[in-house]
Parts: sequence; structure tokens; C-alpha cells
Amino acid sequence: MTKVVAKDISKIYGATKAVYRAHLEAKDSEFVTILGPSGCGKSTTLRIIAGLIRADEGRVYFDDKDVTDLSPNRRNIGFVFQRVALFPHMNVRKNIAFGLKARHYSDTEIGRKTKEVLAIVHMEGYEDRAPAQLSGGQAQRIEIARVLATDPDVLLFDEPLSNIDAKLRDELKFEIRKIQRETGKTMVYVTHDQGEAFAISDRIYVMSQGIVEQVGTPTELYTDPSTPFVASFIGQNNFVTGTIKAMDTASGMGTVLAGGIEIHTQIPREHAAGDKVTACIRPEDIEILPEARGGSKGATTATIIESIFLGNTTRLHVDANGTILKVDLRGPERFSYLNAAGKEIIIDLEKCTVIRAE
Amino acid sequence: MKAASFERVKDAISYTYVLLISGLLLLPFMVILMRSVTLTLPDGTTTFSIKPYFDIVQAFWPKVYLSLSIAITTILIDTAIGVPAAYALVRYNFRGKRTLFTLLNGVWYVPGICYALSLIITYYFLYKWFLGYWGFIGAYTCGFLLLMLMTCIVAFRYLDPCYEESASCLGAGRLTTFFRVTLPLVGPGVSAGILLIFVLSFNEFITALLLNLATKLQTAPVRVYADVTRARVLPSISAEAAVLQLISLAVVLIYLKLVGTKYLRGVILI
Repeated sequence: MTKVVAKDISKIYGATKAVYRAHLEAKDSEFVTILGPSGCGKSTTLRIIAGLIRADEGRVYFDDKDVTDLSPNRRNIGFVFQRVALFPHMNVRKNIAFGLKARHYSDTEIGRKTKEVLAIVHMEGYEDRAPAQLSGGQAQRIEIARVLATDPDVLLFDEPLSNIDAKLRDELKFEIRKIQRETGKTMVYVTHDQGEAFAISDRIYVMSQGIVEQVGTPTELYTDPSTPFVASFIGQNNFVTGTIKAMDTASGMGTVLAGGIEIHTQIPREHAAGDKVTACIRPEDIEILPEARGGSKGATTATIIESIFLGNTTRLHVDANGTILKVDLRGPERFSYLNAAGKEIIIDLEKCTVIRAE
Repeated sequence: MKAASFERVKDAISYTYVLLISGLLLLPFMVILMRSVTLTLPDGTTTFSIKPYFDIVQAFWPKVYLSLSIAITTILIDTAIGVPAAYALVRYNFRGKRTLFTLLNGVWYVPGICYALSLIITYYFLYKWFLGYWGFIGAYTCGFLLLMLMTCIVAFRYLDPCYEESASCLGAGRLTTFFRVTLPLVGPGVSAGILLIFVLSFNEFITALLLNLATKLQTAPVRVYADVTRARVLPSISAEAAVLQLISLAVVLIYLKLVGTKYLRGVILI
């Protein structure tokens, strides 16, 4: 198994920094995802790792071997493209044999490997089909089988499911994860789909405008975003910008004064009273308190502006002293606020992440 | 009822129009074909016979072989040069690429006679050792290279680079990728170039006429021209013209049957 390191890589096109000093690591047998919106540099980073694009700065290492100057065919990688790249003039068998022939495998070995990888992707019996005779999902499975056959050190996926319908996408993403667990291959996966990234990744690199914004496990990114971009890109958030009114440096607890509300919460120790910060509050983390707790610390009075029933959630838009917040209610509680516009409620905003304001 | 009869009239007009256009396009060929099999007997009556086709075997067929040989050699050399050149032009970026494309397109607007003269000057007056058959080949290779370039450039532009990238990631070197992936996928584009070069070089007249003066080699179209100027349009001369047309037509039909018209789009009016 192989560790992949892309060390401080940059790729600049004219005035555009497609990737700028990005540092990425995927440990042995780790499933790492690069997540970000279109044009953030995630595919460019992946292509630099593959050797399809040469970085202007930085080096790429597989284990301790510097592969920066090696062409893709000398890196022993598998690359699954966004568009199915099965050779249209070859049938499935020949497509799978292509990489094996390039590695001088014997015909017997090619036959055995072909059977083996087709079984992994559950596509036995499709050997003689032409790519045009396969559906999108089947073709992508064969594509994965083709790269697995060559026994690559690293598997790279460039949004492989983006052209596949939602249901199949759901199935395939878990299948890719299963294959990763069974084969123990190091995988680097690129996607703009947060749900996909969260479902299959060990760690996620969030990229924006060519730079890595944050690295972490899905839970870390969701519960503790470190930049305004990550906070807005991962899930939904209420952003309330204000200043730190008071802070207990020992416990880290403090009060952020934002608009007409006071938020009592944990504040990272690099901040101090008087700093301008943004409190990121997830709609599902806002708790509606019973009236009896109205005067307690951290409780804020708010008026429901509108209530939207979304099935498994009821979304409230509330006005807390001039600050409009989204509140998501789940469980049986969601039915209690269906026609609650104008109602006054008490909310608790303690569960939030405080980050530096932009 | 009224609408139905109006539709019938509209259809009739459409079909008549199509037939008229087809007739106009086919007319020259049909006239030549009819003339080649119509013999006037000593008593002034006419009869149909394919004798003129047998009459031309000895004198005309060697010219046809020469034309075929020149066309095929030109195709081989233009393919060998044009395919890699087109690949490089499409896949690699370099300064002046756009200007080069504009210049390549500009060659279409040079009058044939000017082009032929420049080739004569280049291959006859400047390089006197480069005469005869290979002078023809040199001139034609240069003259028709653009056709191969254009069809291949269109084909390479249509080809998604992900196939080549995929081959490379699967461990294939550049040559393996080119011969096993790229070339088969642009095959129809290359064959479109081959077809165009064949039809145009096999029937080429202006350059061939000028080179005939310089090299004494006579291709089939020049032979037809020489015979017409010498003995007017006899059935045997019509047979010569018909043979040329039939060979070209057969090659085009075989191509269209095997490959289709997709890769000819944008190159010729089709």
C-alpha cells in the first residue's frame, strides 16, 4: 500500500491560481476526498498527483519516492475519469486487458485477472459487450474493474459519479468504498457533492479558489469548521457576526454580542474580548427552550416569522431581536410548529462555532 | 380533402425539384456514358456497343495505372506526414498556433494554376534532380497534404483526450497509446483524408498538365485532354473519361458504405 503526498503544489494559468501551495496527504489504505465547488482546483490537484498535469511548484511523492517527473504510465496509478473513458473500439475484455498487456502479463494471467476484477464489480458475463452496449453505471463499474486489474498503488477518482443518476450514484459510492476496504488501496477521490464525500471518506480536504481551506474527518468539518468558507459550504449555517463582549480565558466560555442578541458559547482561545468574530450556528443545533427557562443564560427570545414543513424537518424562520435565523425541528416536535407564525419562543444558541470574521 | 390534395401537390413539387437537381448533377456523367457506348456506323446509323472500352485498353490503361500509382503513393506519404502533424497541431500548444491554422486555411484560396506553377518552379527549375515520377509525387504530396491535415485535425479535435490520458494511466507508453487507442479512434477522419486525396489527385489536371510538359509523364486526365484536343470527342475518348469517373465514383461509394459521412463534414460540402 502506498502513501501519497502532494507537497505545496501550485498550478497557475496566467493570472489564475488554479492550485496554490496545496498540501495533501493520503496515508496507506486511506480514503481521502478533495471536496469543493466547481473551479476550486480539486481536479487540477488530482491530475497533478496522476501526472496528467505538471505542477509549477511543489513535488509529488508516492511513499518516499519522488514521482513528480514521472509520466502517468510510470506511476502505477489507476485513474477513473468523470466521463467514462472505456475505449469504444474495444470490448470489455480488451479494455481490461489493455493495462495488463502494457505490463506484459501473459494471456493466462490476463484471463484470470479479468475474471477476478469483473467479479469484484459484479459484472461477470459482460466480457464481450462493447462499451456502447453498457449503461452509465455498468460502464463506470467496468472502468473501475479496468483500473483495479492493473493492481495500482493508488486509485484516483475524478468525480466518477457525477454523470450517473441519483439512485445509482448512491449505490456506486458505497460500492467504491467497499472495494477500497476490501482491497486496502489508497484512494484519492474528487467530488463537489458533500453528501458523497461524507459517506465514503476517511478524511476530507475542502478546497476553495485553489487553496486548501480545511482538512479533517467528516465529523470535524461539520462540527468544527475553521473558515467561513467551510462553514458555509458544509451543511447549512446561520452566520451571526459581532464582537466578543467578554471571555473567560480559563474555561474558554464567552459572550458574543451580535446585533440584538447575546450568544453564550465556547470561544477558541486565540480570540480575546473585543475581537470581531462570526458565530456559525447550525439550524438543527438551535434548541427551543420551555418558557420556564426564559431568563436563563444563553436564552434568547425570538418570534417565528414563518414555518415550512419539509417532511422529516420543519424549518422555522425566526426573528431574534432583528437577527433572522433558520431553525430546523426534527422528531415529533416538528408537528407542533406547523402554523406558528407570530408565536414567541425562547431559543438557545449555545451550540455554535466561533470563527474569525471575514 | 382539400388539404390532402394540397399536400400531394407539395410532394410532387418537392420530388420534381430533387429529381431536377439530381438530373443536373448526373447529366454530364450520363452524357459521357451515353457518348462512350454510341457508335456511328458507315451507313450513318447509330448503334450501342462497349467496343470503345476495349479499344482504349492498350493506350489508356497504362495512364490509369500511372494516375493510380501517383495517387496511392501521395496518399501513403501524406498519411505518414499528415497524421502526426495534425496530432501535434491539435494536442500541443505553441506560440503562433492560431496564425498557422489561418495560413493553412488560406491555402484553399490560392488559384490552382498559381499553386501548380509554384510547384513546377519548386520541383523542376530549382531541384533538377527531382524530376519524373518523384517530381509528381513531391508536387502532389505538397499540394494535397492540407487535405489530410484538415480531416485529421477535425478528427483529433473531436477525440476526447481522456482516452489517451486513460491509456497513459493504465501504463501504456506514447507509441502504444497512439497506435492502439488514438489512431483507431481517428481512423474515419484519416480515411476521409485518404478519400479526398485519392479523388482529387487521381483526377488532378492543372498540375499534371504542367508537369507533363516538364517530365513527359502523362497521367490519365492529361491523356483525355490530349486526345480531345487531337481528335475531338470520339466514343473512345468518352470511354476514357467514363473510366476515370467510374473509378472515382466506386472509391467514394465504397468509402461512404464503410465509414459514412461524419468525418467529411466541415471539410467538403456533405
